[in-house]
Amino acid sequence: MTDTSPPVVRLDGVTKYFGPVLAVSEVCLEIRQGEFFSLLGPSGCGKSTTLRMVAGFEQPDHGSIFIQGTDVTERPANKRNANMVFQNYELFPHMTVLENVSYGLKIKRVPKAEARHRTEAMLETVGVSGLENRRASQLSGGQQQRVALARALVNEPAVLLLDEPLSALDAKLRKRMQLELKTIQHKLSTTFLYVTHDQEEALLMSDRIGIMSQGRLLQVGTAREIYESPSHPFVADFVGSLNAFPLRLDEVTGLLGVSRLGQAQQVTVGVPGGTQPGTFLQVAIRPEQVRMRPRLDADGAAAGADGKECRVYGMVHDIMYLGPLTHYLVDTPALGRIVSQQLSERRAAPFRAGDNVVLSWEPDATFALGAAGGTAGNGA
Amino acid sequence: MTGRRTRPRRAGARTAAWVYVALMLFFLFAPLAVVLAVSFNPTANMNLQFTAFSLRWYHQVATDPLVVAAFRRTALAAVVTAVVSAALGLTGALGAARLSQRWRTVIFTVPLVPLAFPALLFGIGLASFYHAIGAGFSIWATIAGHVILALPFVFLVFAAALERFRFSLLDAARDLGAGSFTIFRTVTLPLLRPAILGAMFLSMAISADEFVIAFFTAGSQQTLPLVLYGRINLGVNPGLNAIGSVLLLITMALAFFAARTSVLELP
Amino acid sequence: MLLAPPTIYFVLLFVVPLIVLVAYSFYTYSNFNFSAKLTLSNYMQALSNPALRAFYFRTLKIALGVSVGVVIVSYLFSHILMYVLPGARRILYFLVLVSLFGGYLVRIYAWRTMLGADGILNGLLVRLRLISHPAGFLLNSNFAIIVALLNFLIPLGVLPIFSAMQNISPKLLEAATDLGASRVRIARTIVLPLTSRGIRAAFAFCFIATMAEWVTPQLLGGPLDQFVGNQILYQFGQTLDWPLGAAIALTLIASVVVMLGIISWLLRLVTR
Repeated sequence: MTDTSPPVVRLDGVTKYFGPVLAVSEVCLEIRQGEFFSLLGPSGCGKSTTLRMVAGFEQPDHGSIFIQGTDVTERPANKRNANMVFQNYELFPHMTVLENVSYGLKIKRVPKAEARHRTEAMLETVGVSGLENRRASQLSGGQQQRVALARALVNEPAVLLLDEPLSALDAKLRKRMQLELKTIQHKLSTTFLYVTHDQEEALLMSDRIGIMSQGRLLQVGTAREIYESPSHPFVADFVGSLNAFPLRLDEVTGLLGVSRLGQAQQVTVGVPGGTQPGTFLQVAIRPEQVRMRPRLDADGAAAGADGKECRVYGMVHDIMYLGPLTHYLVDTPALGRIVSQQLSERRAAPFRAGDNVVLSWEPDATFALGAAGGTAGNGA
Repeated sequence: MTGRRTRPRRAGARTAAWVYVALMLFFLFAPLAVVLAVSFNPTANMNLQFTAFSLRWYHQVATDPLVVAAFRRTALAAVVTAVVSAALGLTGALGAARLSQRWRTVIFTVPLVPLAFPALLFGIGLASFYHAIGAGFSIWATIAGHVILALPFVFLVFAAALERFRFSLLDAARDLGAGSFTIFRTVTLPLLRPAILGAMFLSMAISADEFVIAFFTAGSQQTLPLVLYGRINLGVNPGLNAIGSVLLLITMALAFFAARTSVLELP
Repeated sequence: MLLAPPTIYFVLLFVVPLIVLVAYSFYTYSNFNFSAKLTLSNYMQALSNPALRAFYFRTLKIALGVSVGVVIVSYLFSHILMYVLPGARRILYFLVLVSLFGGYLVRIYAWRTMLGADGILNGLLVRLRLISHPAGFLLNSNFAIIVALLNFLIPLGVLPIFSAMQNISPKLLEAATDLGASRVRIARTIVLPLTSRGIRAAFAFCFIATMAEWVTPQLLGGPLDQFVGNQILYQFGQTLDWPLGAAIALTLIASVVVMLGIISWLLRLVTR
């Protein structure tokens, strides 16, 4: 699905220093029209700085920023066609909701009647109609959030910038707002650039996600691409959880490496062509991919066992019941502790601590994390 | 590390701003600087033509018994004012600490009234009061008035300190078995020490320089500002520069210490 | 309970003296003494005496002028500290606070020497050949009074205005910028309304202080420049007509409160 329209936002080699510290490093990014794009990463990774540079509150030291094809790098923040929703909403306390939301329109000299009409329509869209004459301080957190959204959106910006807008809300309200934001975005077809450190939020809401760490944009892709094909060890570790362990390849057949761990145990992993046997790799497998079954004495050639499947023996050490899911912590002599995530069974877990089990997973579910052979992304 | 901070428009604004700030600070400090400077000039003129640097005038006032007595009284007034106002402020603040927000606001706002209230009115009010109850005018009458003047500032300092105060520490002490007085002595007081000291220094600074209340209540037991006032009316006397310099140095030093002790307060 | 000592002290030494003052304002005066015979004559005098009226309006004029001046100067200064020279903010504010404690009487005395015929300012003006001989108007004049008032009122005005400005979150200003506001618009629509309280407080401080001022006119003004406060002092000090002095003082404070109420309301309108 190739989108041939020009990108709404384009960052070209954007770099920013704070004193000696490199906050954002050579970020190249294109955000498409109508897309919900999230920048995801831990605190201090540079995502907020990048957002603020698009808004115009910080100036890049190198590189350029384009909005709707125009180079806005030198333009001040109040002359860009981008509007921001702030983390603490930043509603003007001395103004009513109506005055807050129509602030930008007034500056653009939109006629009063039209401004009022647009404001009321937008307040309705975000779900706070009827509050026009209240002061900002009289609203609840959730209401303030929506007003802040309305205030930015009513100006019909080319891109809406959101700086962790939901982080001040409690969990239930957050979940609700996540869905509502998505709905509003769809309804208005506005391009959203969203910054968050919450991976679940990003995965839920975004069309595409950009993972950042230590100022660098590591990978850009859809949620599935990032989760299933992480191109960088950090990405693999940050999004979702991992079982990671070192592996020494005994055989390499084409693009598949095999490590035999004794007693019919084995782990396979995809490797680049030309990898030699004897190479050490850091590999990972997602807990929900790890299947468990009780270990029977005749497991060397257990029925239904695919010759190619990855297989490890171990003993259940601990069980963590998390509601819909259950985590089994299994100690394996070959690979150390492995976590297997299963849907919870009703009433009682099928395994108990001390049970001998066989862990298995698909041969191509394992992925390499680096050391020799990890492919680092370039965020295209 | 190339920056893009070329904004020539703002540079002009910044220069103008610096000029404005410099002029204003010059205006604010010039009189003080002049008094200070001239006090070291041994010749009795007022126009900064320095002949030499001399402590002649300081020596003169230091050996003037009236001035020395006034200085002592001013010091006494300052210290007593500080202790009394700090004590009253502390009891008030602690008493208000566990009250609801609304009451706390009232208790911390009412003492601020003397701040805006003109000293002249308070002065004649006090004079009338002392007259009515037959109490004479004295340094103690003045001190009583100074405490009222210092209370707003003391309350402001304590209100800020209470805002930052971690009451959970008191609960921790109680959990470990400490009784009320022990808690006060070993936890509350040490934690409030910077605020108490700051409040005391502030009170001393206010009292030392205070003129109007002292004018109406001190009677013959003049404070240093009163002596200065009395002699101004007698004509220009270079010794006044010395007295004035002493006064301003003292109050500024006290204010400085007040600022330092509250800044050093650990969060 | 704990709140008793400060409450008692406050009532006894602030509220009660004022009550006594009110009481005295109704007493009768005769022969350098006054008795507890109640009368309204003091208030009649305070309100109708033309000489007093002259003092009052003279004082009012200067009080209004000085207060407006201080507010403007302080606002500009605070604005510079917050938005134009933020790097030097702390030290500059610290300096202003320090100057606050530089003394009240000392300053007045300093201006007296500086503005005198053989004072520094005249010396400078003569040396720069701006005037041929020392200007007498510098001292014993309204000019001197106003200069000295500004000198100790400006730090007092900076305090509430600056702290009000400080409380405005910079992110709020970013939000306004993001919505397209220029710096001027932000100053007018965001900063000004949010500092309105501070402005009114600064104005009130200066206005009240000047209306009740007497030391400055006495030491720096000529015989025709005296304020209402000097009249009150005269009654308390010279004629010992305390009742009259009290009545004048109380009418003064009542009128100040009323006027401040009006001006405050006006200021709120202007800064909305």
